[in-house]
Amino acid sequence: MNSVHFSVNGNTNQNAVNYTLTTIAEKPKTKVITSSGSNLNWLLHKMYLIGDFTFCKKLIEQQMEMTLNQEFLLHMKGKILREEGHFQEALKCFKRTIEFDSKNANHYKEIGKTLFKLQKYNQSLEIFLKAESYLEAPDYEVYHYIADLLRLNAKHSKANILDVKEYFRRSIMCGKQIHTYKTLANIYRKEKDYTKAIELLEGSLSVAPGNVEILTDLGIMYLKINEVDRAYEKLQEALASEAKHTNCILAVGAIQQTRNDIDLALNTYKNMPNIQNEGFEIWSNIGLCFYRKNKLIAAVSCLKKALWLCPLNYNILYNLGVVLMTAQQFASAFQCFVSAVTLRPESAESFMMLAICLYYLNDAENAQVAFRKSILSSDAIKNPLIYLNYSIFCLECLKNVEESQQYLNNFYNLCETMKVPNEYMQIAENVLVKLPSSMLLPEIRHTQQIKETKILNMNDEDDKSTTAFNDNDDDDNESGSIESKSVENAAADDDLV
Amino acid sequence: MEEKKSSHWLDALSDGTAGLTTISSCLTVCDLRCDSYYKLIAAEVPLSLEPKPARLRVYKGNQVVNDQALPGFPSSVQSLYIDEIEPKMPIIAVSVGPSILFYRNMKPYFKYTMPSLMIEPLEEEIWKKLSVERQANYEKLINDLKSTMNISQMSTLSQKLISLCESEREDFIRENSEPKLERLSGIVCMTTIFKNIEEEKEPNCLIIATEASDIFIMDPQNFSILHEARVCSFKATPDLISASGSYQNDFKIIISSREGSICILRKGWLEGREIVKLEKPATSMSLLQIDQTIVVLSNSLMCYSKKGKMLWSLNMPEAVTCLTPVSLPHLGVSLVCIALSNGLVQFYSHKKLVDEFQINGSVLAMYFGKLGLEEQVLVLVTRNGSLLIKILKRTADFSKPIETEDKHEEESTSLSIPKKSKIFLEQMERERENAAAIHNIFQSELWRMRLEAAKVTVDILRTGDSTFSGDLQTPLKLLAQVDGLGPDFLLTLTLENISATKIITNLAIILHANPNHYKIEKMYAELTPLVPGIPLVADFTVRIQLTSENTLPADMTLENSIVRVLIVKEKLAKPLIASTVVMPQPELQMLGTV
Repeated sequence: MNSVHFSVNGNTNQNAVNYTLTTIAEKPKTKVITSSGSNLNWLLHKMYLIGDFTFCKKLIEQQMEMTLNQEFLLHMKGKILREEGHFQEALKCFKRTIEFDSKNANHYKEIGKTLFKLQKYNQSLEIFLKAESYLEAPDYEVYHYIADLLRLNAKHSKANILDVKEYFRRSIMCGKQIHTYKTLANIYRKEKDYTKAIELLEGSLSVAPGNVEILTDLGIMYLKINEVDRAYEKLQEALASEAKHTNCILAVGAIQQTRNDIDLALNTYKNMPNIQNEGFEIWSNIGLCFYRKNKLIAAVSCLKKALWLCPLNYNILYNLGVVLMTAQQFASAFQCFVSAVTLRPESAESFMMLAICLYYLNDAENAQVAFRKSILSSDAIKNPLIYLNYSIFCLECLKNVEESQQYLNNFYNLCETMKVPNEYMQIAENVLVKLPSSMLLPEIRHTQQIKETKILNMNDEDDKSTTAFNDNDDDDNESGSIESKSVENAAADDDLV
Repeated sequence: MEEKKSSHWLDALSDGTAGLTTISSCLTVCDLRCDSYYKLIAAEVPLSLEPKPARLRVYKGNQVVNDQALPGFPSSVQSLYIDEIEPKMPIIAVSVGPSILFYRNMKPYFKYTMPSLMIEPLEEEIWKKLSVERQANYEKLINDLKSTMNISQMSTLSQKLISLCESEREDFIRENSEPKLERLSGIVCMTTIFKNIEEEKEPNCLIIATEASDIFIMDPQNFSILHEARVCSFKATPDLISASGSYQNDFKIIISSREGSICILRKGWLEGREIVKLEKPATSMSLLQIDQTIVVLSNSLMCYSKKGKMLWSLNMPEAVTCLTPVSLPHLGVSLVCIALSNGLVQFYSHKKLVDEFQINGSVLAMYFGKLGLEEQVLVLVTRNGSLLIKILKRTADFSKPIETEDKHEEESTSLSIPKKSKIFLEQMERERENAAAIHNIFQSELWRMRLEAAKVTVDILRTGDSTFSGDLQTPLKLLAQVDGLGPDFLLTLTLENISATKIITNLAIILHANPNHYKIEKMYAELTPLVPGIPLVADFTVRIQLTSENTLPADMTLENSIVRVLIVKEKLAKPLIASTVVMPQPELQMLGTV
């Protein structure tokens, strides 16, 4: 047995050989070295975790005097300095720890992290790669940082993104950290590889079951691949554990809205905490809810608020335009569509709406210009309504039967390739009836008919925009989590819609 | 902050002057005299860092009944039973540095020092040489020692040797001519398991974790090491330890490391296994006896299974300091008590907050268990040295989660849609009736405004059209020179400050030309401050935009081949000088060569 036996008589203090706090100051030149076993590193670490930095600094200072083995002390000092924001000094401390143990991956890791904080990414990457070479066992942090730095470094190179993913995967393998899962899932999301992203997020759920953020992300991801039921399930699960999670409420509300469950959606939105200071998405969605309930003034209010929060959003402009048109405020609607068209000159639908607006403002000439633009746009074939409306316009306003006939034919051609609501077909039939022979019918009835049809059209239009909008909302939800790029993302995803 | 009080606890003691500073691992309660009167045993950790020895104290109520000095900072205190002789009296184990001091009946009983770690053969060799070598060679040998080994791997003796100055070395070496090289590892934490039968007051085994990542299981009856294991296959310095079970049957030890991993060590294993890697090392950790889950406190409160699966987690409102399990078998619940740095003490039953109260100062150490004659007592020691003892009321019921202040919030959750004024509604009505008229007026006004803006722009450009600045504040002179045969030209602008004394700052040059005709590499240049009398020369390259057949742009004539030069000053809408430079026609034969 290795232990030293001796009996202690009475006061153990006599045996205090190692602990010589009192004798520090006697010989300033020669340090009093405490025995290796009685350092206070454990206490330092405990107090550091509690956050009592003043005590830690005092302890470090005192211990520095008493030991040659300052590796841990310097390491902790560096960490404390870094947390206090003194990065340069922290760096100095960590560099000194390397003098004690030049092959300790941990020290390199801390240097790398500090450089990362200082935004010296290239240097940081070098250090982390060095740390990787000294690793005794896989370390998730080192892999995560390397991956992150590679990502920052090489945004444009395709080859590197594979490296990035590989490192993230390794980090997940050994660390299972939620933020690593999230970052990698985000990379896949940006690449539109939603199944991979879902796979990862599902994996992270096993590490952190019931994590609201992940459940929300997962729900949105399922929406992307059109598995609405699954998405709804995940989002409901998230709401169950945190009833006031903003993004989650928004997504759930959006789904309910798409399912035409307007009152339920409105109730969901009501749970949103601090709703007055929320983003434009929620207000836009609420606005559309009211529009569906035919409360036009409330709808205009909400959409205007959304527009005020985000004046350059195409969807809000378009939707507000539609709502205003339903309220027969054509002059205001005109302004909305003009802005929408300026934002997206390629959008066929907004040109059509602009044309209809101009028609009501008795500006047939410009209406025709707008219609022409709409029809010539490459998107025109995606929406048979454009042809139908133009056909009506030709007949009504220009009295050009041939052209009207031609575009009506276009409309029927399109109908063969896609599913068209019955209302459109009825309107088309009405037009067809009037075309060659029945031109003698009274003028007024025609216009009324058009009005009706157009309002109907707009309604249908709006349905679409609602759904489209919901999708967008979800996108924005996501981009909210990656703050820096939200704007780009929103724009990119909008194009998809 | 509003004072929060709980109705579940009775304040038995609140001694702000106890002067006790300690940490959770140095706090324990035991039936010291086997009289069923449980006493609090606390080893003081002198956080003031004054040269004052740490003390081991026994409290009966708030009275210190026993007080003795310790030879250093204690890292852990455990009470354990070593044999089955009646009356069953526990012994107290206090770890200080690399040793454990055992007390029986609060009398020193035994001191055990951990075995030394391996000494490098090289170090031993150098010491052998040192004892026979002459003084002149010391330097070389010591340098050898320094260069080949990390200080952390050296024995204390070698460390001392290195730190000495040359004159002292000889004496030191002579004193230690037969060196006993030792490398001791400090004990960082301890815990106990049962030896055989898992019942109260049955004999225990002591589990010791050292800074060198070794775990020892000791039989305190004869102070022999029963089992020795490593924490993990890689570097994981133990920081917190918690265990359950008995040595004979089955046991598991959970170790939280400074590096942030949580490892499990089971019976018979020589090496622990990492089950969780935390983002930030755990501040406090405990293996719950009741359902064998591990609760970990770091940034948040997390609960893991023994396989490392996260069962749930909860974010904490504030920084946390410590945690203690609160097992209440009579209510059939097991709570976790958490102290936050702002002095709030919260009780959680799984994820639900069931109770909380506020005290003064942040809690550093907590213990829940029997004390005195009471069964359920919570002991709290704060950073500033107060000792608080709270007794759980027998009527306490933790089945309902406490209501947070959500109530009045919920009442106001109707959608507050922005209201529209009456004027707005009237305007709406008007628009509905006269949409076309409103639109026409708006459009014509818009055109009028655009016209007005264009007029003003032209006006400004015209009035500034000169090579001199008319502004008295900033008198300037501009000269222009065009070099080259085309299609590349060098436009040299010379700007001179013609005032007597005034320095002109914040100037910039803007060049403007028809982009279909000319390509100007730098269209905007900020200028350095202009000193009177010293002209500033700036070169600009202007290139004709040739068509694909190397000819001049079609609509380019002698009249419109001009470059406008504008001198502007910051925060001044009107340019100081607006001048045009007529560009020469390029030599036609030069065009072919490009």
